[in-house]
Amino acid sequence: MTPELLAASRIVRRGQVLTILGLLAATAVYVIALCYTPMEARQGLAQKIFYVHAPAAWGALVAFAVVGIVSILYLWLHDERLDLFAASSAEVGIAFSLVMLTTGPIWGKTVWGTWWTWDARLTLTLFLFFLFVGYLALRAAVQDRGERARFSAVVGIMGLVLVPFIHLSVYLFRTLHPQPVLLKPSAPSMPPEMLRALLSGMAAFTLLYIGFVVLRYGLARLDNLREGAGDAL
Amino acid sequence: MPFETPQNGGFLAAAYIVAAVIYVTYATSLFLRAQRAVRQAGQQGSGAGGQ
Amino acid sequence: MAEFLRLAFAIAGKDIRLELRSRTALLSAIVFSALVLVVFNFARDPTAIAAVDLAPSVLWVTFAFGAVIALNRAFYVERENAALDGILLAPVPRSALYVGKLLANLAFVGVVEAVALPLFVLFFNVSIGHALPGILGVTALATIGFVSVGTIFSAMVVRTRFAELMLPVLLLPFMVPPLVGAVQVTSKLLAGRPLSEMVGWLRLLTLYDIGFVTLCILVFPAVVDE
Repeated sequence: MTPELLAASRIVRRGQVLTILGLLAATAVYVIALCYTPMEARQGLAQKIFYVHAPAAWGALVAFAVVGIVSILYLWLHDERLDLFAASSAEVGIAFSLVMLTTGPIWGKTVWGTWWTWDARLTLTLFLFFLFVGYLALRAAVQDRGERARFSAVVGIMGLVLVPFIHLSVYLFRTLHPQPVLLKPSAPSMPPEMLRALLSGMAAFTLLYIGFVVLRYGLARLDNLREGAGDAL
Repeated sequence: MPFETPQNGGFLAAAYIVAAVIYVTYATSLFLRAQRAVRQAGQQGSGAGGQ
Repeated sequence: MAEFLRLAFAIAGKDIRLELRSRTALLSAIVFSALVLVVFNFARDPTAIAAVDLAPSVLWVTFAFGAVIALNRAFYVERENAALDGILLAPVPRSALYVGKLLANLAFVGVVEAVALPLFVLFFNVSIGHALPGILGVTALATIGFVSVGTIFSAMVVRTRFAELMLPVLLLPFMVPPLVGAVQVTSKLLAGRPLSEMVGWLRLLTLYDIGFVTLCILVFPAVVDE
């Protein structure tokens, strides 16, 4: 085995371990959230969706920030591995966005009575989802590796700059069009069990994100070597 | 005005299950793809053709 | 600075002349916009909703899609004439190249909008005279916003597979802030609301334009250079 192949395989191995640890941590969070948190009287059991929904939103945001920042680094340093890492984060970001976009409406139906509202976080995540999809679609459509890396980096950076504008747009929109009254799931004084569950969730799903990204990155490195060796994919 | 806690455990279950399915499916897909890639890399290393 | 502008205008002029010769991009975008307006007319129940309530949305959806069509075609013109490679060989600063293309695309989209607007007034019987300067102003602001991003993306996708699909897929998320701002401002203009109500949106539009034109100038070299 060549040294590059060895390095890539080792990354894959590490990613697999981290992912399994992440999944175990996530399972622990499920248990904590289901059994060790109080039930919120006004919202009922469904409020507990929060403990899965919030970390997913966080994960999507982290994934997106990583794509943007690593894209900037790529255009600066031209290291192909940075491009592979950004692309890995984008794919993982789709998984987290999907979780957020499915658990959000399910929860929303119980709180607001409708499946979808254009509230700030859901709207932003929807945009992140579209940006991730566009980013990956562009990569699939470009054959040349250098071109693909450069184009992806440009889209990544532009997406990063777009996010504050989406946020501002939603904010301006909402101040003009008052949304249905939100039953805040996390009142200023969150009981300690809830806070504990939330923080555990954040930690566990961050670990899962890292596991996914490292594994996906290792896979990207392997695919890259195979592509370079001339085998058709 | 008496307030009744809504009975929405079903929604909770649905959300938790959907999330778990998405995460586990993605993890499985990554593991399978990685397994295939490592195997093919091993073949490449020993001189066998790819494809 | 003067040299920069001269170059930019020269590039813009070339693109515009090329397009005027074949005219396909312009014509397809104009026809498309007219069709969109016709469809909107039949898609609306005239007894249920007043035209003026729907007007801003209809107008801007038309402008937005017309712009995407115009942008898509504009780069095909370039490719078919293989002119881009020639320009890249010359020591033209990439920023001038981008600004030139931006100006040309603004001209294309501007023409499409200039045709769509009177058609819109005609088909929907909406009086915009009192708000015309404001509408022209906000149209300019929003158009710069989406054409600046559209120019970069059409430069990228023109050589990819499924180029006509890739451009809207990439561009539409970026069109949302200018679109939202434009619709809000247009709606307030038509309703005769005071300027103070529009300031937030106008600031958004202006910030977007400055931010993205600058960003696009900075990243354009990565798109055209090896």
